[in-house]
Amino acid sequence: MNRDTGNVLLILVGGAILRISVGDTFLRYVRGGLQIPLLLAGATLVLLGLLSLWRENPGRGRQPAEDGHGHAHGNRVAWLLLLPVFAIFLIAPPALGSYAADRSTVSRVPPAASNYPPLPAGDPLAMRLDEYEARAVWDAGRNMSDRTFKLIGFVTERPGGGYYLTRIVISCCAADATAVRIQVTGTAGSYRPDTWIEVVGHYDGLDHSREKDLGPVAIVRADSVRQIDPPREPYET
Amino acid sequence: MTVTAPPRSPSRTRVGSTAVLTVLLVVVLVGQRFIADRFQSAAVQTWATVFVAVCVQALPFLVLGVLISGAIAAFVPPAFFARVLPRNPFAAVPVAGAAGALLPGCECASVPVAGGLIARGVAPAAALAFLLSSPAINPVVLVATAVAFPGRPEMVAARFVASLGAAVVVGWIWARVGQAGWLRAPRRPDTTGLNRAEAFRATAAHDFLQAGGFLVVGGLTAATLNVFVPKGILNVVAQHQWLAVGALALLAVLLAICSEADAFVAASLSQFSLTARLAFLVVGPMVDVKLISLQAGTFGRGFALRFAPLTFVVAVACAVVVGWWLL
Repeated sequence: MNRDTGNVLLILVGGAILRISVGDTFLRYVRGGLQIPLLLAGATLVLLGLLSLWRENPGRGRQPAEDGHGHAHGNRVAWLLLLPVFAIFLIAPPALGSYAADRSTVSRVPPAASNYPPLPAGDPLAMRLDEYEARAVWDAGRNMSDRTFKLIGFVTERPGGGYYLTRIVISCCAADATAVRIQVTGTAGSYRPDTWIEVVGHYDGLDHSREKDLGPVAIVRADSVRQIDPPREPYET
Repeated sequence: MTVTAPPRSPSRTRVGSTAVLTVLLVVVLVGQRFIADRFQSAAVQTWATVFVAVCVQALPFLVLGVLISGAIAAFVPPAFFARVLPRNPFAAVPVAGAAGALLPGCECASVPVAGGLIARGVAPAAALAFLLSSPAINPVVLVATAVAFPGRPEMVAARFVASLGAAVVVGWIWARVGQAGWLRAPRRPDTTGLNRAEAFRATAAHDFLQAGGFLVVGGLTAATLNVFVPKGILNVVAQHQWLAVGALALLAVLLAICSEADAFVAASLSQFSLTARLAFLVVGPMVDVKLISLQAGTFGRGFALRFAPLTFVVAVACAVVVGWWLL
């Protein structure tokens, strides 16, 4: 690979990073806190590539544009940098959904002690799925029974009937994703997997039927379910 | 259809690589619909998402790493390291290992920095101790570990002690038995006659292209293993104490999770003993498929073949000893 090609690659990679991190697309892959580092890294790469193209131009630089050996400036493996660039610009892989959730069986983090603060005000009370699950499982559902909750997630199939309200939880990037599931009972209706829905309902204990794979699963008895647009941040982080 | 045929070596075919790149871009743009249609199944999409995620997550740290390695090449005189590091490699190893705490970030940043150190004349054993310790004992990672294991500060201490210990032991072993031929000196662009800013720019660009390609290899491997290794088998091995340690150490190699996030994954593997999870945390930042690829790219394949198994064994041993002592 000659120097010009390497420099164009720098610009392409930087451009792809900028492309996803200027809007919300990067949230499909990493947590929101990485936006500034991504913008800086993308801008740095574009700048580095442009500057190098300009400085190494045969007309003005001191270095030959073609080194003839193919490895003085990057080497053959650098071509692989085109793969994430193509993936981002051509395929734009979607956020993880029901397929990844169904494969996730790892049980969730048990907190050190059950010292949950009182539930905040709100009727219905909007709550993250992982907090709903944590309070149900690790705090024995204390003070939850007389409240109305509003939960948002996508649908995954439940073996044996019904469906789960599901969110993917990531701590750094989509490679460390785990799923949190809430079983929906009551007036649940039926939805196709990966449909985003908002459930308003009441806490209704735990389901132990898949204890071996998933551990106990918290239940919400739905008063109403409606289809919604996917939220800006697809994951709980 | 051969829309994504791999580019052939431009030097041998006498076709300029810029021409190859241009043709490739045109082909891909024209064939966009065709290519996108190949990525419709849920399994393939999940794979692509994880692949892009691994690359995107690592890139800011890789950029930070190559900027630092470029700065070392351009602005730090070789005499500086000779002055701050003990001349005897055996004494330099622990100093360099402890210095790893100064580089915040994850493992992708430390590989180019270690390459830059060796190119600047630092003893390989010392640079390798730095390479191993830095992603595991820097403050960002330790804080993440404390957050992931609330109420268990001994887990943070155990991670620090076991990681630094493993890094120093590997450094000492390398200083004792390592041979110069095993480690290919990192290739550097010729910067003679360039001013400092130019040397910085040329080194950073060169190091990024080199390490970036290998990062992609690691991302491809990690995504494949992540999506296609069934996680259910974990529950089977969790019951056996010794099997569990080996299994989680191996899992750390295969999953290649960033060291800033691995504590959260370890915390969620609650069916395993704390010692087994410590092994996961000690091995992960030192040996994984992405790192092996990056190291092979920076220091040569012969190096990676010797260094990775050595590090794996030492890291597991350190985790078991420290786990028995502290946890």
